[in-house]
Amino acid sequence: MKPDYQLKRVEEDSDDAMAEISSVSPSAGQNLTRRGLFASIVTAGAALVALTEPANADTAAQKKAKAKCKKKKGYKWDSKKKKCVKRSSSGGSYCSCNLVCTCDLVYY
Amino acid sequence: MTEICQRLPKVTAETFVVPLEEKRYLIYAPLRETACVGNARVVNHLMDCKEGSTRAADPAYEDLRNLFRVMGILDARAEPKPITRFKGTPEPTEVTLFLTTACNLRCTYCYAQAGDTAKKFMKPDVAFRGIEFVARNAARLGRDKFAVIYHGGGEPTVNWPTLTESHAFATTLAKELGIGFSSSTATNGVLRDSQIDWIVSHLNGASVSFDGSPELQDEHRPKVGGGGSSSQVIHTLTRFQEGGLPYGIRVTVTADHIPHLVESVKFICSRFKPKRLQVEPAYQMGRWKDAPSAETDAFIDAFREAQVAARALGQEIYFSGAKVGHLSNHFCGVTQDSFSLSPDGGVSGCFEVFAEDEKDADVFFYGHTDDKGQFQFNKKRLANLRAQTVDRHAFCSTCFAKWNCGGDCYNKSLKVNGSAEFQGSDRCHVIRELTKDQILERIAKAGGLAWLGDEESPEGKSAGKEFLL
Repeated sequence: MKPDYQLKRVEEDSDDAMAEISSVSPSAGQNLTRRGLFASIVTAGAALVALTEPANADTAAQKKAKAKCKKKKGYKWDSKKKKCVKRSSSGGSYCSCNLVCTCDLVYY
Repeated sequence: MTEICQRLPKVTAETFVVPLEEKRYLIYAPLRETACVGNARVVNHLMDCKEGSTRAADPAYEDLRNLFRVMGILDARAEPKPITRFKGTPEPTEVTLFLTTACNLRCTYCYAQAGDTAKKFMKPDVAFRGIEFVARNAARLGRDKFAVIYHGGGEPTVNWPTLTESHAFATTLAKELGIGFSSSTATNGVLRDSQIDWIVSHLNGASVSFDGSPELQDEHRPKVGGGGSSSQVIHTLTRFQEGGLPYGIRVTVTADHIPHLVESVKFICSRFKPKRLQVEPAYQMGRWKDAPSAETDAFIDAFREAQVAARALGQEIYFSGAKVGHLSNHFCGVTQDSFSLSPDGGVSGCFEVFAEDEKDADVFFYGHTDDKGQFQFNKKRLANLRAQTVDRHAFCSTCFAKWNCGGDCYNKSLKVNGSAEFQGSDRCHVIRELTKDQILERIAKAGGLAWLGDEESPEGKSAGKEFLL
């Protein structure tokens, strides 16, 4: 059967009076029963505030360096170290179901 | 009187909605690489915006709309599609050599049925021709290197003379042309010490098939003369590791292996540090055609459990179809002029179709060498292969995973559906579940509320680069 995940209306019930964003627990994808997937529920406003004011936001200089780095071939931005680092490469560039990459993940 | 027209918000991203547990929905914009989880009202407000209803301007939802703006779902610039489409005469810079159909193992699930088919060995001149073709293409196109990959249909190291001679030829040619050269091999790991030494000192990487648990390895991957292969493969992996060779491990999971997958992954991760550990359900092809499928919910559950076990040991496991962080309109090189040479010198676009007398060879073999040693290409077959991209699969058009999986494997689709039109397979369910996990993990890692894209996406990610080759 053809999968259908297009954006479309879904059924609401009495619990859905407010638009709510669910906070996803760090165990997502690891929880076999998939229970307790959502850590908490917040309003869209609270989510927006949390997302637009991250605690470890990049400084203006870092933002500039990141943008420059993204354009530099063979380099990537390391968000933990907050600096531009060279991509490591070794082995072939082909990755598939039958040939496991030994380099940075580079697909055709 | 001045009338102020308030502009209604516009949905500007291809957005998918995936039902989750507890009446929640995953809202995913793959081409923006953003996602969040909300309730039905969140989804329906997005629909209000899409339909241009008056509720789309309701001040009570302004925060929600702003959240979608941050995610690039509303009022953003048009999103480019990650479409690469090849045209013209193929100019590959990478050659895969199917050195032989012979094998020193008799794996129960071998898709190639190595050992049951006629033994073929590639002669050095066939390999040289392929190498010279890609090397000269690379030089002409100004690339910094060309690549040679030794692959199967059998165990490539069984044709040791052609492997080593072709490598020496490529090394000399690279020097002559003044460009770089990289080489790697797929192998079952049943090698002599002298071969291991050579591989460590000459190749840039190896992809080793190894199923983890020694009992399962010995049962499913016995040697041609009988007896298990686990101790030899463990020895090879140990030597690769000691020698500093970058290597990956590919674990094949049969239905009977599923309950032992965690144990297998723990076995590998506690002993080895592969650059990449890939776990794939066995293909119901070749010798395993009539075996029970492993593309099941039990596999998905076992994969999730194995992922937890692997991470506890500092490793990550991968499945080829679930690739969040990578946007593409194709699964592999079959649509991208992938250039693989059979022992007889035919050009195949697929790693799994390695001989001209195989089923579907007339689909995947798109070239040959003429009397003068020049490559000639069948335009009709090439055009068909190039057209097998996900953006042309009607079946995939409304699937949230399409830009990540790229439409999955064309060869498997043909084997399952028996027609040229992609109709999905059991793998699609595995892909969707594991892709969903990856999106949820991205949200969780981003603080739990919304994933706003990766900063360290792989180089292969092609969003924003609409180019025709």
